[in-house]
Amino acid sequence: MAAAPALLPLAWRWLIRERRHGELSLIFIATLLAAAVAALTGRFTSHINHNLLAQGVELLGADLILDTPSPPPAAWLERAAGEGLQVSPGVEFASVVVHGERVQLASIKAAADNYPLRGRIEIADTVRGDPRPAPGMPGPDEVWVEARLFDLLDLAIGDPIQLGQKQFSIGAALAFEPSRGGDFFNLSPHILMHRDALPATELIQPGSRAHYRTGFAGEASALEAFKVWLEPELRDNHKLIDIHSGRPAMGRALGRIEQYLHLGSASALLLAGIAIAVAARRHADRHIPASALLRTYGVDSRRIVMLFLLQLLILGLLASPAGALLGWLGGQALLQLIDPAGAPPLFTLLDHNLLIALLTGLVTLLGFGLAPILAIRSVPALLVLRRLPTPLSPSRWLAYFSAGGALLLLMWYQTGSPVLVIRFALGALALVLIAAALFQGLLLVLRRVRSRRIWWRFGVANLWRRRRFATAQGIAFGLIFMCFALLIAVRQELFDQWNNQLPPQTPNHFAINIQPQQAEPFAAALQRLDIDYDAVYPLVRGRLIELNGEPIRQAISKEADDHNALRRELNLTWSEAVPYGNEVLSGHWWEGTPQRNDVISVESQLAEQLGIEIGDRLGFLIGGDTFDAEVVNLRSVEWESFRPNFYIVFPPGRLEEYPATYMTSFHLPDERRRLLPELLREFPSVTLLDVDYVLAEARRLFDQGSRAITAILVLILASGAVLMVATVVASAGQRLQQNALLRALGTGSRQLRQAQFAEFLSLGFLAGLLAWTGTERQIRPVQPGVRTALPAQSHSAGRHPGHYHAHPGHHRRLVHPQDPDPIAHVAAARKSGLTPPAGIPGAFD
Amino acid sequence: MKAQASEEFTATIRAEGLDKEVTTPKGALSILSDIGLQINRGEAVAVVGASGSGKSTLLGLLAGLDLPTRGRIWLDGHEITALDEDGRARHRAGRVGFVFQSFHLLDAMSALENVMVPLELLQLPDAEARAADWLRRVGLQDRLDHTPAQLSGGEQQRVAIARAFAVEPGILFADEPTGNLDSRTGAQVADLLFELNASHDTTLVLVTHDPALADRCQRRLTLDAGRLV
Ligand SMILES: Nc1ncnc2c1ncn2[C@@H]1O[C@H](COP(=O)(O)OP(=O)(O)O)[C@@H](O)[C@H]1O
Ligand SMILES: [Mg+2]
Repeated sequence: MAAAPALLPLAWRWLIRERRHGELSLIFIATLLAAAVAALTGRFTSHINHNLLAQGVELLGADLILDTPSPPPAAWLERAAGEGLQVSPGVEFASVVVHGERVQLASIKAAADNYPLRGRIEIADTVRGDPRPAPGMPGPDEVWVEARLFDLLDLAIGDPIQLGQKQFSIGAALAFEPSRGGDFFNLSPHILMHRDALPATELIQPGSRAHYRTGFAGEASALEAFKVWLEPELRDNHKLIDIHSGRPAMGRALGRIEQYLHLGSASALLLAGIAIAVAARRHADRHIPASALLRTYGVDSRRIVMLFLLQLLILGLLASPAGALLGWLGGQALLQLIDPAGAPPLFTLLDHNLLIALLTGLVTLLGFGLAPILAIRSVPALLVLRRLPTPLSPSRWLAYFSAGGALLLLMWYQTGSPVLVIRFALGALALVLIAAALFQGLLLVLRRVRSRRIWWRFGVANLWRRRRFATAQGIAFGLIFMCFALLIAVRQELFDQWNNQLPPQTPNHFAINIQPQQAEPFAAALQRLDIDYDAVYPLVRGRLIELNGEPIRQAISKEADDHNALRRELNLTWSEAVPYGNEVLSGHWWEGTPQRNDVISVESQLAEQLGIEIGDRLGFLIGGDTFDAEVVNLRSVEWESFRPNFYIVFPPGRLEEYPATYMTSFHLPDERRRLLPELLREFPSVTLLDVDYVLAEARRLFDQGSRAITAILVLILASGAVLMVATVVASAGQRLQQNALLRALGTGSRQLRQAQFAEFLSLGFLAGLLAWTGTERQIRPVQPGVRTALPAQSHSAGRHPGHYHAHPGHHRRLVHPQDPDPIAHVAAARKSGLTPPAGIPGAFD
Repeated sequence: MKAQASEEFTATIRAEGLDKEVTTPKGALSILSDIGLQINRGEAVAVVGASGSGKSTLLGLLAGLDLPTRGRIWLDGHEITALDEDGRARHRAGRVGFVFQSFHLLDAMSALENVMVPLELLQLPDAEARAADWLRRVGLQDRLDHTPAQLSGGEQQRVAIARAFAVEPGILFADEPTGNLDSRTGAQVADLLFELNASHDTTLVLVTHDPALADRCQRRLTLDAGRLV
């Protein structure tokens, strides 16, 4: 190492003198691309994560929420304060409100002055007027109420309403408020009041049903410490809720984008890395005579290697920061373009992503360039006297180890998932081995193809003679084509899914709590108003308790044991027809009302996870009764369709005896929104949920995602192009020599060109074939995986029952979907995943 | 120490019982057998023989570029046959210079830089001034910035000579230094070589098949099918 500074001037000068050499430019560009890809990916993912986290805590109203049925012990709050956390106590409960003659059940939240700790409340001065941030909390004699209540009670701002023993005046219309707990199944209009005014209402008595929701906010480390301390203290009916316990499904969809970006950037790094390896190899080969010469000057192998490594390092130190900066700026420009308001400030200088990108460039360069350069070590001095037929043979183990190591290290850092990395590595290894065998075999076949055309034979013979190099080249080409094909296919699929899932007619309203006697009139009203809806579904709540006569938890595998479907009541429905958007995958659907009513249809993923098959009998507990039913078909469900979706469907004739409510979803264009109050007046007890903003948000985010993906794809294409050039340049030297020889032997230039054409043609053909088989192989068996791993499983409503089951932990920032409550999300509120929420509308499960 | 020093004075290069065999697809091939020789300090020795007689192989062995199959070689008092490739390289540093038939200049670098490289690698002071000075001495003061591609064969070989002498080595190995040059240019290059050799009191080992060139050396070693005759 001591020799390095002394060698630096020579290394530098040599590099400068050779700067026009193809290999050096290739190494430079490939390193630049690697760094740029890393920077761009980092920029996007951190933006996405930042947005999500910010959005998450804003919706939660705090970093952490403790939900208890009675006021939490004072010691807990003191502990939190001791950790330096802000604490905001509050309570939520249901009560009737009275205005004149009218009475309405409402959901009331009484909160402290510092509510919310995160995010904000928005109010409007007129009903459905322009929202503005609230200056604080309502005063002691004032409440803010949701627009729906104005409709239901025929209120105006300033009107008095009675809450328990106290009269309040309506200060404003509540437009947005973070975090609502409670039972959404009986979701009623929100009222926000100050907790100091609560005693005067006398609404909360010992034994009253209420949710005490205490918000906490502060430093991540303090929160963590508090959580660790608190968790053992919690009882069954205590819930601890944070952003991770119920990451919105939209977040998971963005997680998919993030994964795609990581996959894409890994591909780009791989391609850039191989380009570096090829170019470095050529660089080393070209310097064999020079390094033999240096040995005659008395330079030992260590210093020679050092000299060339220094050159590599200089290149890296020039290319890497440039690439990182370019990628960074490119990412910034793209964010600015996509989302001018939401784009982060240009330079949070020395953002760690920039540093990581810089290191990524260097690690890729050294990882892939090291082995070829180290091979220079073994150049014998004797070469100055005699042209020995000794091309460099870089240690393969070193090459694979350092290149593979570098790539896996980078991937591991990016994705945070060793499982994914190992899988990628094994997959790539298998692919290369298969490809090598295939390629050699194909070459053999091609060689057998007899042709009288001399140039054809010549070209193929050429390939055959250099078959090892040709194989490597073929695999490289094949890999490039395959990466393109795969990524383009996956991208297309992603986009298609987004578009399919969010067509313009996607329902943007839900109606729940429709009473049985209202179901038909409600449907009739929708028809009369010419509102698009698909069906009104009955909901009966019940628990899944047995599988083939055995208690379900014993009958299924351990890992399935904490499946959401087992931890809470399910929403069951019955239907004559296959529900909208569902598809029967196996078994048969019943026609109309079947003879037997002890049959059911089960959602296929649930079936797979719990090990349920057609012919199994599931036992249910509904309203105190137990009975069982036979599984007669399995059905796929589009969970993100913004339509009512169910795990389990009965035929008509079995559930009618149990208490039910009804629900539906419908699409209401903006300009017809004024129909809503009319509908609400006609059906005051029905709860209408507007999910338009969720839809809009989803569309916006997917738009961002698709642009990010396109940008990454462009970079991958660029890396692939560099690799192609690198392999062609690498073979150019040999080709030139060969051609000179052939020319000397009297071969015409036309024939030479034809031979070369034949060579490239067959190489291209073989590589294409390879790519095709590889892509087929990859896409076919993986496609369901690709579907689940990448595409939009989407926005808000998507609750995927253990969707990640097949892909455990592929991203450290992705949490297992702990049953994020979709309606809660829809209603801009969040619930715990740690404890099953009590009342989730069957709409989404 | 004393013994070594005195040996150094008498014999700069000494070889005993050198055999060189290589393995070819057709079996073992003997290139050199039973070579013993001694070359004294300041001597100019020509190695002559027909093409393929083993001249270059012998030069390579004596310079430590390769190892004999059997036998021992001392260079400047050290037994280089006991060293590995890196050890031999380090032993050469500053002691030995080379001139090759095909020049072996670094294409990317100028004449000046080509001469500078060994100086820099030996970390000698004023590398650039020295290199320029040596190029002046071989008559190339106007060609400092030219790359090898911009120089004629004779000029390239003069750069190579400047490069070899610039580190002021005790021993100079030259393998057919005029072999790639026409006779007039070859003669000029040879003149330069002998002139510098004489003025710097360098030990010269010159491989050639040109009798005229061999005649200018003090002594002649003749190889025939790998044996000294
Ligand atoms: N590594 C080797 N492998 C095979 N044959 C060799 C090798 N080195 C030298 N030879 C052969 O040994 C003989 C002597 O070579 P060389 O020393 O170059 O002869 P000269 O320089 O006298 O022309 C030649 O026939 C050459 O082909
Ligand atoms: Mg020779």
